[in-house]
Amino acid sequence: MSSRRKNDHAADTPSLNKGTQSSQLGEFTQFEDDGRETMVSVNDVSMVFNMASQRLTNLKEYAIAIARHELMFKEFRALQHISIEVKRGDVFGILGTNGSGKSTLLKIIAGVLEPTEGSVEIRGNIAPLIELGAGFDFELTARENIYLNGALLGYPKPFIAEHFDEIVDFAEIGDFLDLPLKNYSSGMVARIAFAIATIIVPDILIVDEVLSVGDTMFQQKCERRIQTLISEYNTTVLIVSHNTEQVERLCNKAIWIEKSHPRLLGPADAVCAAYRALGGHRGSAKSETLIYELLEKPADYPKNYFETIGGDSVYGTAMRLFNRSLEAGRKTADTARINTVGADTKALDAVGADAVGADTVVIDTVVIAASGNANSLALLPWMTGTLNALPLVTSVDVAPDSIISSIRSMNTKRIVLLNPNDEIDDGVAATILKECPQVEVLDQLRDEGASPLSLAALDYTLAACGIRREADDGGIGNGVGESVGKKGAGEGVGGIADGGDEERSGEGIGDLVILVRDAYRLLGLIAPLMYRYHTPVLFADEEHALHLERAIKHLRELGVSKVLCVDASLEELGLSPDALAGMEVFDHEELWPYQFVERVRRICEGGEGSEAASDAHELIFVSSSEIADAFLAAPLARDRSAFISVVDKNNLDSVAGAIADIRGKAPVLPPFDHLTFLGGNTCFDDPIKDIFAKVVWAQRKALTGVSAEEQEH
Amino acid sequence: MTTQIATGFRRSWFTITSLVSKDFKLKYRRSVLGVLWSVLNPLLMMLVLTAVFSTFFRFNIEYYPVYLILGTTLFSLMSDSTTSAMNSIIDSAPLIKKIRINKMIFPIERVLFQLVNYAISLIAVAVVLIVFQIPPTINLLLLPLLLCYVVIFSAGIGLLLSSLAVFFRDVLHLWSVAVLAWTYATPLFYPESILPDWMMQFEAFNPMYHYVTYLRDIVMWNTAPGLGENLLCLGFALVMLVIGLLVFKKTEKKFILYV
Repeated sequence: MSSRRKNDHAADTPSLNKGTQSSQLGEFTQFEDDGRETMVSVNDVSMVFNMASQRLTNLKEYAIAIARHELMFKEFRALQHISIEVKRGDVFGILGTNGSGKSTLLKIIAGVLEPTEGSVEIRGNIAPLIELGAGFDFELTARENIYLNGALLGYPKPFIAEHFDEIVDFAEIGDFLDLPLKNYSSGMVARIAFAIATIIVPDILIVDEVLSVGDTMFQQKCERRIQTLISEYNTTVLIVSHNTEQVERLCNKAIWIEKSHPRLLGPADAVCAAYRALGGHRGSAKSETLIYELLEKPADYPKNYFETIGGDSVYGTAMRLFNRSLEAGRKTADTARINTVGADTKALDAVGADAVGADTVVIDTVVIAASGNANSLALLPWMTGTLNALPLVTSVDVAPDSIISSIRSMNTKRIVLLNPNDEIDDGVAATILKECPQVEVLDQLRDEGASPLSLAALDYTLAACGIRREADDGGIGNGVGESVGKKGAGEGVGGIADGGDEERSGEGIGDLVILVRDAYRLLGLIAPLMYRYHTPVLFADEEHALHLERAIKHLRELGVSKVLCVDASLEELGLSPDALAGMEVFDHEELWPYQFVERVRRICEGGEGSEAASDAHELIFVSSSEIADAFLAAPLARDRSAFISVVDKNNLDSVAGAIADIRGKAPVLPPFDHLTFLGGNTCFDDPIKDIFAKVVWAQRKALTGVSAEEQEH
Repeated sequence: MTTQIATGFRRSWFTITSLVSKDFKLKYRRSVLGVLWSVLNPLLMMLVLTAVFSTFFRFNIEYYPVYLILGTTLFSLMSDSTTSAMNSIIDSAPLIKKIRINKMIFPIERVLFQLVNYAISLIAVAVVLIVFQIPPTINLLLLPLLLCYVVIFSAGIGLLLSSLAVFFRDVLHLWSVAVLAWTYATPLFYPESILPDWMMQFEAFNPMYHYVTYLRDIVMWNTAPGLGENLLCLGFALVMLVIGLLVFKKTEKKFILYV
């Protein structure tokens, strides 16, 4: 095979290590120059396919195209300015989604394709595994195919004869040698192909997804063979794969190609991590550039700058948040929220609380929403805030173990179960009561008939605070609240309501009410505020407009003077302007997230002129795919004075947007001391966390001038 | 360029022979008579054609069946090998897309495979010669030389067609028509004496006319073609080969984009 191929016009292209491309790829490309021989050198290679002429396969079309001057117009750039350098002994991974140009690059390296621009230099012979078994004839026997394939790969006949047994042994096909290949399974065919291709000791081995064929045993065998070639013969290997684990395991360097551009070139583990986080995610060119530049920037933020609170599911995350809120509450001894009672050893064990003295914290009330129902989830912040409760979520079919253990550990007396559309199985409530003997009352709120869930929640919460709604439409007595308690149904909501005095003040609820159709993402942002300022949320729909208007009227009588319509106008909410007469109405304008949060905060605090920057010093990231986390995190965010940011990490534009928000327009965000990412591994991957940490830290440094070292002290 | 081709050929020879033996095995696998068909086929064809033409046209040709079988077998060597070579690049698309290989192997291999078939069909020719008691002469030694001309000529056309067919599939259809026309334009079934003058002038430029006449001269008429005739035959072959090679070399880098 040829040892050197070069396009004449590109002969003067400087090679990568001289640094022409390094600016594009940043610091990741700066590999140590250890004097090893360069085996494959790809210099600024671009590959252009001519789309128009690809479809012209007959003379008539060709003539028409020439006549119309349409020929050679449409170009498709399969690769753009790719430069890589592979040294002897390197195992080089090429990552990328389908159609990103990986295989084109391998074909160029293997010499099958000529690059349109740039040059490729190869030192030594190449054993290509680009799709195993090319050239097999399925009518021929395995024996004949071994010779034929060997011949096609350019092996001399004596060489094949000499290694014939070795190939047969490796492929484990001794008994079937004289069977036509068509009777073989695809796995067996792949084995033969791999055996033939690797029987020579090549200087460069090219592996294209081949290890995904065959059974696990054979895959391992192939990997061992490749490892042997690497360790004993110092073979240079190029591997194309979607399987990042495989690339991480085998490779020391990797390049990630996406949409024909080089994304990242660097140590295999770093590239794999970035690929796992961002591979295949699309966004505008601007967003992509921003994110990939950040990815390559060195991390300068202090250790422990961010933490992750996440379980393996939304229930696990909920439980961890629950425990965090509890700890935070214990530390600040917020007596208004948490009752302190005598020690309970069971609770201590379950919380694993080590710093607790004689007193144990008991959460009086837990509000549980259905994990899949955003309507019920969005009610959690304000209900828990108003009821001095903590939020949890359940699945509709069965009560997850995590909520049972959370409730048990807290010695919870009262449970409020938000049951939208009666979705939650009766067994859930039954399980909770059975498993948690200390629970005295379990109230289920449903949106039966005329009264949607958010109104039922309003009634219930007001009643629980000692504020009764006028019984014009039955109120609580109408069956919206249903008590199941071990002490009998008579002692339920009523009992609690009786306990409170009848003061009609803003003590129970804030003076703002939020009207919304379905803007859960925006609600997620202001969840801490809803929790802190006891701001009711009412979901509007035309069907229940009358009930909604009556509820608003009642709230107005209770002293609620402000209305915020989120992401919808009054008409869209199905409300007549009269319904809000005498109340201050705030529209949700096109604000960027922090502006929106600040605006809501000011409305809640009442001081319209308050220009003081937010007191937030933590940023909590929530994945838009798990918006429940935002509502569950409201107590934590309140305790830690945190902002919540909702990001769709699968959408690079959303990530870029969040970065732009952090980097600031007016009002400038406060310097954040800490970041928290919510959700398990499916929500935020390490590179995403890393990117945000870099951005927020840089912003903090710009504002305060404190470096990472100082921070760590 | 020739040395480059020569080294390429040497390196590719094993590949070519492997492919020829593959084609050979595949051609006769699962047929009862196997290789015998390569002998029977031209014989049976000759019988049919002889029956047809001696009944309807009554050409006054001595040893008509010999005349016929010599012409048709040699012509089908050319037509089969060019047609087969024409498809070779398209057929080998999976390979060409995946491994770095000298693409010229494929059309050349097809031509050589047809030469092997022709060699077998020579048995049929021998049978006919024995039946008509035409003794072999010293002139038969020129047969390998003639076959060289025909193979080089066919390889040239094969290279040309195989590369054109990649870009324009129309060639596949056109060529079968062209071959048919060429078959009738060449005196295979009929004596050249029936041709009008203008056709005779055309035949001077028909390489297959020269090759077929060459073969009949050395087998039937016991005459050795002169140096001039040999040079002419060689000239046709080389010109065709050079054209084929040039086109093939110029286009082969783009094959992968079109197959």
